[in-house]
This record gives sequence, C-alpha cells and structure tokens, in this order.
Amino acid sequence: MFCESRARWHRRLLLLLVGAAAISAARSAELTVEVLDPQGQGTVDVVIVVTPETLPPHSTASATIDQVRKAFVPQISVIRVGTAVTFPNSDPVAHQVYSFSPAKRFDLPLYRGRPYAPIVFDQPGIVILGCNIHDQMIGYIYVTESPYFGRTDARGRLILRNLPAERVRVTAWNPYLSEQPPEQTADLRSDGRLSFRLTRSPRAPRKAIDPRLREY
Amino acid sequence: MSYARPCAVLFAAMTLQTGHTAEFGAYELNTQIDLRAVVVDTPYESFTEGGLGLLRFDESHDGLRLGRAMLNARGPLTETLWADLTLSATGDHAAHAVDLTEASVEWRPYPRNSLRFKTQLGAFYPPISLENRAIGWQSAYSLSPSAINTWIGEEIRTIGLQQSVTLRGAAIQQPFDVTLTAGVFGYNDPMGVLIFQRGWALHDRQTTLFDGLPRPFTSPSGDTHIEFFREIDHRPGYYVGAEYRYQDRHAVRALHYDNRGDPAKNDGKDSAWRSRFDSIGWRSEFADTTLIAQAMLGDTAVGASTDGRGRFILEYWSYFILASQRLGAHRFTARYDRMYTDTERGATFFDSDQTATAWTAAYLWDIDPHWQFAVEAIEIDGSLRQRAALGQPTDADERLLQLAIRLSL
Repeated sequence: MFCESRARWHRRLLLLLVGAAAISAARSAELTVEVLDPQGQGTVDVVIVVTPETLPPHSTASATIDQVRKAFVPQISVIRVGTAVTFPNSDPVAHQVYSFSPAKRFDLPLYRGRPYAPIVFDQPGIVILGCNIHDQMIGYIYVTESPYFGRTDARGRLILRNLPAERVRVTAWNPYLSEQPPEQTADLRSDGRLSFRLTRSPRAPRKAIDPRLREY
Repeated sequence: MSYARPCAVLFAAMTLQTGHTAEFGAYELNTQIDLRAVVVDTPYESFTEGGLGLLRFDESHDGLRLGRAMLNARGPLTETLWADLTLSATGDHAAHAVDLTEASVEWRPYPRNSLRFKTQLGAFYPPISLENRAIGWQSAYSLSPSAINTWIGEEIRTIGLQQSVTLRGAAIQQPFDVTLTAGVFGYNDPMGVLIFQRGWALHDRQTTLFDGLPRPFTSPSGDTHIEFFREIDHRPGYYVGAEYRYQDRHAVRALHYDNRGDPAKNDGKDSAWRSRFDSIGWRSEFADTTLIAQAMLGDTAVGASTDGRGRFILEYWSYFILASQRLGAHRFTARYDRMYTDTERGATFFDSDQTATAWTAAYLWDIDPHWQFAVEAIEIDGSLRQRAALGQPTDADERLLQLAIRLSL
C-alpha cells in the first residue's frame, strides 16, 4: 500500500518535472530580429512584436512616457494591452497631452511636474500622442495583445528571449516607414533569426523642436 | 541714458511677474535686454530721426545704444484660450518708453481628428516671415531681418481675427503638414506711407502699437509723424495664406495681402493707403545649415483719382536669400537683399524710386542659456531718387557694424 502510493507519488513527481522541463523548453526560445533598409543598413526604433498562437493571460504592467525639451521620451513606445502609462512632464513649461486615435482617446488638461493618474490602454492599435500647446510634439504608442515585443537598436537589431518555442507571427512597425513590411512567420523550435528587408528607406524623423523658437 | 527708464520699467515688470510665475505654473515669461555698440558710415540721417537713411542708426548714434528691451508673457486664460503679449522698448524717440508690439488671445481647441484649428484675435504678425521665429518676433539668424521682414515689422500688424486650419500629417502618419490661413483686420490704413516715402530698409526696430515713426516728408496737412495702426476708411482688409511643411525641415509659405484701403479717404491727419502684396517664402533646414529665400511683390496707392486707383501708385518688390550655418553654440549667417520701388503714377509730383542691394553678415554666439553675443555688418548699396528732393545725394553706400550683448531671462 505504502509502496504503491510512493510509486504513484514518484510518477507524479516525474510527470511534473517533465512538464516543467517542457514548459521551460517552450519558454526558452530566443529570436534575433534584424531590420535592414535597401542599402543593408540597420533601421533603428522599429517596433517588433512576436505573437504566438496562444497568448499568456494579461498581467498588470506599467510604463512611463516623459516630456523633455518639448518632446515625448521615448517618442516611440510599445506596450501590451492593459498597460497603465504615466505621463510625467519634466519640462519647465506646461503641456496638454491628447490622443484622438481610435485605440485610445484622452486629454490630459494643462499640467506641469506631477502627472495625472496613469492611463490604461485597453485596446490594441496605434495611438498617436500630441500636445495641444506644442503642435510639433508627436509621440507614438504601439499597443499590442502580445507580451513579446521590443524596439530595434541603432544597428537595427533586437534580441527577444524567453519566447514560446512554437510557431509565431512577427510584425515590424515604425511611423517613419513609407511602407510597413509584411508580417512574417517563424517556427521558434528551429528558427533563431529573422530579418525584415525594407523596400524603401525610412524617412528621417521630423526635426526636433528648438525650444527657443516659436510659431509666427 | 535714454534707455535707462524703459529698462527699469521692464525689469520691474519682470520682477513683479516672476512672483506670479510660481502661482500660475503654466505661464511662460521671457525677457530680454539687448545692448548694442554701433558704428555707422552713412551720409544720411536715419529714418528713425526723420531722415532718408535706410539703417536704424546713423553717424550721430555711434556708441552704445539700446537694441531692445522686451518682455513676452504667454499663458492660459482657460484650458484652450491662450494670451500672448509682448512689450518692447527701443530707447529712441518713441512716444512711450514701453509699448506693446503684439497682444492677442488664441483659441486652441483640442484636435478631434487630423485637422487642427486655431483662432487668433488681437494684434499680431500675419504668417509671412520665415526668419522671425525667435520670441518677440526676432530673427533667429541675424540681428536685423531682411528688407521684406523689416517692412513687416515697421508697417504691418494684424489688428483683427485670424483663422487657420492645419492638416497634421503626423496624425495620418504622413511627413507633411498643410495649413490654410485667413485673416480680417482693421487699423492698418496708413500702411504703405513709409515704403512710399523712404523705400525698403534693414533693421530690427519693430513699430509698437501706439507709436509710429517720423515722417520723412511732411504730409499736406502738415503732419510730421506716421501712426501706422489707425482706421481711416472703415473698410476691413484681409489676407489668405497657405503653408506646406515637410518633416518640419522644409517649409513653403505664400500669402496674399490686401488692406482694401480707400485711397480717396483722409481723416485730416493721414490718408488711407491701398496696399496689397503677394509674398512667397521657402526655408530648408538641414542638420546645421538653414537656407531661406523670400520674395514679395506689391503696390500701394494714395489720393483721390477719377479711376479710384489713387493719385500716386507705387510698385515695390524685394527678395532675399539667406544661408546660415550653426557650429555648436555659434551661428554664422550671410544674406543678400535686393530692393526695388518705382512710382507708376504721380512721379512728376513725387518720384519714389529705389534700386538697392544689401549684404548682411552676422555672427551669433549663445554663450549660455541666458547670454548671447552677436556681431552684424550690413552694407546697403543703391539709389533712392526722392533724396534729391531734400538736396541729398541719391546714391551712397550705407554701412553699419553693430555688436550686441543680449541677456535673456
């Protein structure tokens, strides 16, 4: 009796270990994404999102988008649906942050310093941020269902770790691309690298505001 | 010193306002004191003294002068209604030691789609200049703006209403913005008298709202002072303009302007002048290099005539090209101006005729966020035929070298 139950317990433990190993194997995939322009140069700040078949449940996440020298910092953000974003204002001047994008409409009336309560982005899509006082201030938030994302570095590369080892869709997005590259698929059980080849060079970002200048 | 009083008043106002800054955190306050050392080489008396010299200073001004004392206050009256006010002092023969150059309120409703609407009411500059983009409508590239924008600062202010709508490319992920603007204004009927009597000039003195300039030629009614911002014929003027911007680096601006003055009207002090012009400008900003070009063509008319067009008609045009290079905190600018006026009708009574070119070289050094040092050299070469009426040589070179030290707070 005792031996039988002990054997069963061992079997269960083994199953659990195998399961855990399988899960950890499933999570251990890594993907290196590269975004190259037609000249083969890396493209910076491209949002990369890896979407598996089944998405893990949402968890509470938070992010911050600051306002420094009349610019949103970072200018391009990527967050998961449900993320609460705080918009502090580190400038000595007041700002009025707004969005009329369908994915999230909001206004943060005139403020300096201490931010308002965070805004929760509850729908996927691209949210374009503006300041009603400084028209040249523009920011972008890419809101995605997937928790696996990042932005390419100055060399146009991004390494994403702890991905599920399964078939995934990979998308790339940047507001300065005249054509967004088509979505790709990858099997992370075998593929560890993926590259997006842009057919046209990205536009240069808009010129940064010189805070000493005004619109006349 | 002639500028001690305006300086004291502005600094007092500034100190007073600084106290308010903490209370109303959204207010922006900018003050600037600009002191000059000037050396001038010209046979003419400056227009600021009632002469026909095209520079702000003449040989009698050699030495230390006040460039400008300026205070700009900007802040919200409500969430979307903004007030903007600029006080200036020039320290010369102005009737008021400190006076307004601009005062307006602007309604900026939150955009609800890719269109951005703005409504401005008050006294302000119409969207013409691509140089005058520093606070207080100062040139960002030199001390003195081009002949075209010098004239705007002298004779033109929108005292009225302006409505603009901008298609914001950022909202539709496009690299451009397109703006259409229309304005309706009054109180600018004497506009044209100075360009008729004196021609184009080059300087940074902006006429204040409640002041004017000496009249180079006394009016038939014996008036010796021009007040630019007056309503004489009770007919509003208008302008329509368009601007295209690409990536906030390249901008093209066009404006059609007509004050719809009735040249037959006179209120005893001055006549209404019918002034209209078209202006087109382009600016490109590369990494540290800026190129600007602008051209203006227009006419002005005054006096009763059987065809209603005016007894005197002056045609005028000007263009300039500017190149500016920034090297860290240092900026180097070169500009070439071409100026032309011609009396189309009435030349037998008064022949206003100018053909001139000018070169401007400027160096600006931002020593720190508060202090700026600047050097500017201007040479104007050309003729102004109406000088003969005062027994002066029509042709002469006018040269100015000015050093400025500017403290901004």
